[in-house]
Formats: sequence, structure tokens, C-alpha cells
Amino acid sequence: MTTRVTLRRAAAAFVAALLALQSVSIAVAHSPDPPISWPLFEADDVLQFRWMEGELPPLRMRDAVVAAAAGAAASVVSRAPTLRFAAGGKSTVEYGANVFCGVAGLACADGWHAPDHFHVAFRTHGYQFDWGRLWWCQLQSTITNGCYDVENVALDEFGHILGLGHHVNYSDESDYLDAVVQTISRARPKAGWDADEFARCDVAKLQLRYDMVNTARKYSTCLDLATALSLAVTDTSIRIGDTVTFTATVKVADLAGYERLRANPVSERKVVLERRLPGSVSWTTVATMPASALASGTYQINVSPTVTYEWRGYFLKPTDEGLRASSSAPFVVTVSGCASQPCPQVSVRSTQQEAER
Amino acid sequence: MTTSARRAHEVLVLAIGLAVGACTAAGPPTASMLPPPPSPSAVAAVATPAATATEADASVAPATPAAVSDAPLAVLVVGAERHPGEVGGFTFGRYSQSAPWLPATALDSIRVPADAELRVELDDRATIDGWVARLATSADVTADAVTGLAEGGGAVVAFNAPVPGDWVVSVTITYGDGLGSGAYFWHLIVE
Repeated sequence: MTTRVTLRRAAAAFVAALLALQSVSIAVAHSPDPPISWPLFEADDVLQFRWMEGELPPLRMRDAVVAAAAGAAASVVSRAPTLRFAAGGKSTVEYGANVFCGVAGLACADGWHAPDHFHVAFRTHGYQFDWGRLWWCQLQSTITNGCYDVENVALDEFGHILGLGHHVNYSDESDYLDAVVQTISRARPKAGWDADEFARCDVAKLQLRYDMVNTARKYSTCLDLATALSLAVTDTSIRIGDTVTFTATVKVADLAGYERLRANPVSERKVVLERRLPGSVSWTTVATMPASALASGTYQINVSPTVTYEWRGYFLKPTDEGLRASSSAPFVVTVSGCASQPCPQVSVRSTQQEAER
Repeated sequence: MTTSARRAHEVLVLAIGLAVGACTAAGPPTASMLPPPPSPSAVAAVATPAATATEADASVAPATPAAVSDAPLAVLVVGAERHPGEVGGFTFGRYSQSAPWLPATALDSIRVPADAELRVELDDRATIDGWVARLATSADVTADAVTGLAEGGGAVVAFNAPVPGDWVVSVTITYGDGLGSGAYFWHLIVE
């Protein structure tokens, strides 16, 4: 009975925490790429492209485009589709002067027919624009400054295909390297000219749009996602010597702006169990809660308290990903006298240790 | 002749082409693989490039590329004058385009007084959700030293001319309704 009440309280606290977070949005100061306006391809899909008949890119450009597809697949860190060359692919990559790009475009993309197929086009090596002549680095016998890296530009176009708009940079563009999908393309040797994998703010939007591969994968540091931690205990009124089990559950907050990431369980992170004497202010860490096999995003530990304490779980902000810290609503576990003297000392055992005994 | 100056000519060429095409068309095209019909500003004839084939695989581009990818047009309003901007990289509707920082040599120069208020307006294909104005000197053709000039989150793009000098000003506009964004360029000689 006590257990059920505690679990209900924990659930209520969890909901309250989520409601409190409703006004929280994704990081404003530095945001993921915006979405592009065309439809999305399906998560986990394989998008096969071929070279357009009569518009075949030179061999070294083809190699670079295929490498860009591999670079994209290696760096999406999400369930975003992968791109792959296949002779019979539905989608096309073309090369020519008469491609569908606008007057200043060195390359362009059309994903309007997602989730069925897409088109990507590259202007010809040596094409004369108002802004200058286009040189592709891979097609030069000696690479010169001012050339454009096919792999980098292809990655930008593939980013569009996967649903990314151009990253919104700071006005001084000091954050240019946080995204490959950029409004202004850079030529050699300007920083970022040869980036061959998606950067953190590209990845952030791909994660938002397509979800994570599993609950243990890291969230891009371009995100700033609120988390929600709930804590439950098997009994809130015990005698000295009794053992109770604390179960923490960590999730990404359930907010609309979090798209596919909302309410995702968060596994294999660091969650600690904390206690304090009722009425005191500061918390003391009791132990790190080991991951539980119970369900994704759960952490569990067995404790034998000898004193009445308030308890809470605390999820520490990871230093290498875009998740915020969170703590559970506190609750009291009341401990009454022990049956035999001397009373046992406090001990902490994880469920795993318990199982090993 | 820069692109904007060329556009009026191109619209005429396009109109003639469409009229001729209407007389000679022989059956409907296959719809799925064809681009949509170009808008009047989706230009036809661009440059007549003559690539010097000094580098491997260099090819000469034909004189009549059929560009269809297009963004809303932007004009810089200075007092009573309206100056069309050149669009570089953009995403709009079904297309995205990669382009570099457009150098002064690709732009018509506009003389403006130092205290002028500059406004940017779009055509009726898009509204404005936000904008960032940046500038680099005209000599800095790859914008190695780009700096922020002004930015705003509303539909009105208005800012003061930079200090006297020879500048390329870029305004990146985020279109309303999630339609994308585009970078527009002007060559300003601020007196």
C-alpha cells in the first residue's frame, strides 16, 4: 500500500515537473539548424541515388559525392536516412551548366518529392559566374586556394535532403563551424571549407527530426534539452535493518518543441541518490545509482536507512551532451526503531550486488 | 552586366522562348522528372562562360543554362530609390542553393549617404520572420573579416548605413511560414 502511494506521488511529481517545463524551449543563443520546408524522408531509410543520364560528373567528383554520402551516414548520430550510390537509385545527382540551380548557385538540391526521391546538382568545373569562376578542388590537378570542396558542398546538399535548412549563425559568423549546412559556402582555405561530416548543430536538428538510434546515444551539444527525473521507493515507512529499493527514471522532457526526442528515456548516464535530514537545506550524495535492466532510462539501488531522511534523485548534466540536470521531487522515508540491538549501520547495495550475494 | 541588370533582358528572352515553344511543342513532357515552370525571375540566359581549360576536367558551360531554382526578390530601399539585391545561398520552397559570399565585382554599386536609413523589402512570395545584416569591405572578396551590422526579429528590415567606405552588405532573411532563408547582397559606397 505504502509503495503504491509513493509511486503515485512520484508520478505526480514527475507530471508537475513536466508542466513546469512547458515554457522551456530549445537553446535560443545557439540553435540547431532550422527545418527545410519540404517533406521528410522516413527515419532509417536508405536513399539510393544514381548519376543522371547525360549529366555524369567526372570520376573524381563522383568519388567525392559518394564519400560525402558516407560522411553523412557516419555523422548523423540519429535515425536520419542514409544516402548511398546505386546504379538503379530513384534519386539523381547531376553535373552540368544547365542544372536547376539559380544564377549564383554552385550546387543545389530539390527534395520536394520526399519521401520518394530527390535531386542534387553541381555546376561544371570552370563555370563562369558573376562572382567568379567555379573550381572544384577534386578536379584540379594542383589544388589552389579559392576552389570548392565537392565533398563539403555535397554534404551541405545532402543535409538539405535530410531536412536541414541553413544554419542561423551569429552575426559575426564566429559559430560557422557548428554547421556544415550553411547559407554561404566557403572556398579553400577558409575555415570549414573541407568539413566532411555534419557538425553539432546539423546533428542536433537531425536528432530532433528523426530521433536517436538508442537511449544511450549522446545528444548533440547544440541542444539544451530539459530532462525530467522521477524517483520511486518500495516503502516509505520501515524499521531499521529493512532494505528499500529506489528506482529513478530519467527522460527528456515531454515538450512539443523537442519533436521526436520528447519523453525519450535517457540511459547509461550518471544519476545519484541524495538524502538530507528533514528540515535541512543541503543534500548529501549517498551513491551513484547503477543502470537497471528494468527498462530504458531507469536506475536502481537498494538502501538500508537507519535514520529518517528526505530522499531525491539527481541527474547530473553531462559535460559532453545537450541535456540539462534535473532532480526528482523529494520524499521522506520514515525509519522507526529496530527489532534487535545494536541496530545495523546504513548500507547501500545495488540490485546487481544484491543478485550476486 | 550584372545579373540584376540582365534580368529584364532575360524575361524578354523567356517570353519569346515561351511563345516559340507554344508553336512548336510536340506532345506533353513526362511530368515527374521535369522541373516546374520557371517564374519570370527564374532566369534563363546567364553568362557565357569560357573556362580556360588549364585544369583537369575543366569544361565550357553552354551559354543558355536553364536555371529554375529561385528565391524571392529583395530590394534595398534608400529614400525613394529601390535597388534589387543579388541572392546567394538560399532555401525556398522546393529548392536549396549553395553559393559563396558575393563580391563587389558581381554587384552594381550603390552610393548612399552615411546617415541613410536602409530598408530591405521582399516581393510578395514571402514574408520576413527575422534578419541579420553583415558587412565586409569590397576588397575582402571572400569576407574573411565579416562583421555584424544589425539584426532583428520582426518583419521590418531597417538599419543605418555603415560608416563611410566601400562595402558589401549582406542581409540574410529568414522567410515567414518556415519557407527557408536567403542571403542577399548589395555593394554600397557610403559617402
